Amino acid sequence: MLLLKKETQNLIKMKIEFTESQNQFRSEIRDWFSKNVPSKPLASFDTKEGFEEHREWEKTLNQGNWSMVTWPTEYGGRALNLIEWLIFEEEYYRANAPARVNQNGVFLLGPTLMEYGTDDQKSKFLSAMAEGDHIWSQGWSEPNAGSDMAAIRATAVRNNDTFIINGQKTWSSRAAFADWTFGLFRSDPESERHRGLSFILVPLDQKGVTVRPIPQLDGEPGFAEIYFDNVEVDASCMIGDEGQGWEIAMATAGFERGLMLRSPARFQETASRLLKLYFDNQDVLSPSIASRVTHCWMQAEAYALNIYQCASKVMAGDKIGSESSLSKVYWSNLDHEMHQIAMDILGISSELKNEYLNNAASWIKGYMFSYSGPIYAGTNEIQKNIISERLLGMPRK
Amino acid sequence: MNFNFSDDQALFSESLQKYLSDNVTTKSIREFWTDNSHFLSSRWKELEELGFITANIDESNGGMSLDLITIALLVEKIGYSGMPEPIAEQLFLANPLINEFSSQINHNEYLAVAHDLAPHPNFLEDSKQLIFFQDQNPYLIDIEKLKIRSLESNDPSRSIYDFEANNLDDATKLESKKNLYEQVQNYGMVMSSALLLGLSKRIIDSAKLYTCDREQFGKPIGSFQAVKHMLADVAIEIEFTNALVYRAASSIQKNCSNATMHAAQAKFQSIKACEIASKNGLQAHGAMGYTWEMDLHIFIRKGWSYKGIWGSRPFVENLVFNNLKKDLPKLGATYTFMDNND
Ligand SMILES: Cc1cc2nc3c(=O)[nH]c(=O)nc-3n(C[C@H](O)[C@H](O)[C@H](O)COP(=O)(O)OP(=O)(O)OC[C@H]3O[C@@H](n4cnc5c(N)ncnc54)[C@H](O)[C@@H]3O)c2cc1C
Repeated sequence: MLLLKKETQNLIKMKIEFTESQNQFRSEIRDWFSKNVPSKPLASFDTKEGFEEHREWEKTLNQGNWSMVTWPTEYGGRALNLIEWLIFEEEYYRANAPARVNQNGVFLLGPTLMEYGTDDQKSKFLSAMAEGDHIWSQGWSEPNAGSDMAAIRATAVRNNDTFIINGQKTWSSRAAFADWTFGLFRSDPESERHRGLSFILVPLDQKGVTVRPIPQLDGEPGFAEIYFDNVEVDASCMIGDEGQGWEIAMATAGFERGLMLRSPARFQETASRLLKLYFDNQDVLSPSIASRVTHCWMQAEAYALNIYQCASKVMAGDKIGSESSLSKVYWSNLDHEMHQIAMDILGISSELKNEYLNNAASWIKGYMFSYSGPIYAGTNEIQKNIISERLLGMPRK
Repeated sequence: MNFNFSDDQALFSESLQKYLSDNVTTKSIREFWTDNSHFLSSRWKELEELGFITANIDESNGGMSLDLITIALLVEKIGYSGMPEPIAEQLFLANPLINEFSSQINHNEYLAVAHDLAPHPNFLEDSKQLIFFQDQNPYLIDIEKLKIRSLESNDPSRSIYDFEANNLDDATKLESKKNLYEQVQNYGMVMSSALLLGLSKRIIDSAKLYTCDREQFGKPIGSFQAVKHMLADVAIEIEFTNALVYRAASSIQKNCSNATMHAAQAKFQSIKACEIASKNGLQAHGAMGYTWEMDLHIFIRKGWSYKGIWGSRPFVENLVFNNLKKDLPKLGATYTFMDNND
């Protein structure tokens, strides 16, 4: 009993394999990376020198039209789909290419502009972003608005064609050296909570802006506080309408938790490195380590498959909303567990910052950073509130 | 690459789901428990007429030649329903063998299958023939030629048996170019994964309904954050099971070199999902969840069985681990969909 006649069937059945052209695309990137990835690792992008080296890498990427393959060609992209983006990311991590200093821009603001920006805004910001001329930071959090982001107090008061911005943002990643920040500001002073917020882009070299870098656990200023003292910003720097900020920010946050920022290749590569670390040291390890390493490797694959599934949904016209909260909890816990196991394996050398045996130094750095995964992009507790209330429909109060 | 179900695949599984929710009530499952241990032949017949039982039998033998991904989706719905009849076994274990040995097997009847990973065939008395493995070689035998003894499963929905062939000469050795022992093992792992996935979804749905309804301290218990997070943890494990099951089904269908590995991964994750669903789902019901009267355990019990058979956790973990050891250079993000046969 076929429910639809053959002619009327939607013939695109689930098909879990790459097409010929996707495989070709993979070889093309692999080839380009093999010629262009710097042979020596760059300095950390949380240092002045390393930041500029990473900016150069963004330029190199853009010269190859690899800045963001899903963007339209007019902004330097290749108009490819999300599956191809995932392939790109897999090759990126395989090639051990430098981290993206402009990830706040290309992965988060980029898609937001694509959806909510005017043509003028797109042409002004997207190309400069792809080129690495504008490196972006995010400005949501404030001292008293962390998980409760609707408690934002920084203001943007409209004055004809400009906004006058006052207040403070904090924990803004890359802000120590970045060129611009995007964030939410209260444009209606009478408003409360989610209403009356606007999404505004601010140049960090503008008069009245003070950036105070904050050292993270590794001692480097990976984030910063930003003070705004009567900062004048052109009204054309607002994305969407006045008061539409919350809605737009939620879309941006969705990109961050889910598909865009944490592409699965990163965790799969960590899982394979962990396996190698395990097999190099297995003679002195206990069976539980073998077991945990195997679990992590499987989880990294499970995460990748899930993201392929999400990408397929988006390509079929579905929106990914609260589902991204499921991914966020999953990858952040996995990342921590993988690094924790590496520390267990490294044992006595796990405290040695200069120990290059077994790549201890890079595991230590990753281990520290893995503590932040359950916090940034919305803490895991907040994600679980979202999962239970929005996906499972449990009562809010 | 496309992880979406086509309209066809979705419609077909929805129509099964509709049939199951109308017909396989928990009341009917409990009746099955008390009445007898044979399956409802009327229900089997109806599903046969609707085309579900022969869905993946070759068209030349009157089936629909449906692909294994769609079959996995159907089996997930069967898991969700808690239906005692062994349709999952028919689809995943029997039908591929019937397709291969169509001249030797009576394909109008349920065909029981036994394997080292599930040595006690379900509903043996309701079938006419059995396929079993001796030293990993497949044999076909008529039920009359067997000495059988009914065993009691911890899940009263499973009517399982011990069997003994009086004489191996009574059985026909099945000749195949494929390694049927491994093939049936892989099919069994994916079948049990799809069932566990459906069962986990049923359990979280019950817990969700219950926690929105039951009140303590003057409000629904589902409004307490500890209860919310307990179920969110279940939702996360379930979410990351789906795609693993579909990939495993696809890899088996394509005869991919990594089919065993993919099946083992699907089984591992589905065990994990069903375990946390059972633990947290029961916890959310309080003492009520610990009673025979509450329907919840119908599904939890089925999970207990399918976690152990067709690839227990240590078995599948070892499969994966040994493969990783062997294939160390071929790890990482670019190999997720790899097939050495290509
Ligand atoms: C590495 C890193 C980079 C970051 N980058 C940026 C950035 O670029 N831009 C930016 O704007 N922000 C950034 N952040 C800030 C981040 O978004 C916030 O830290 C986060 O939203 C949590 O806010 P908070 O730190 O004030 O913690 P709090 O909100 O004070 O939370 C503290 C603890 O209480 C829990 N909690 C709070 N409310 C609830 C609740 N309702 N239910 C249950 N538990 C609750 C939290 O889960 C957490 O465990 C970054 C943070 C880190 C660690």
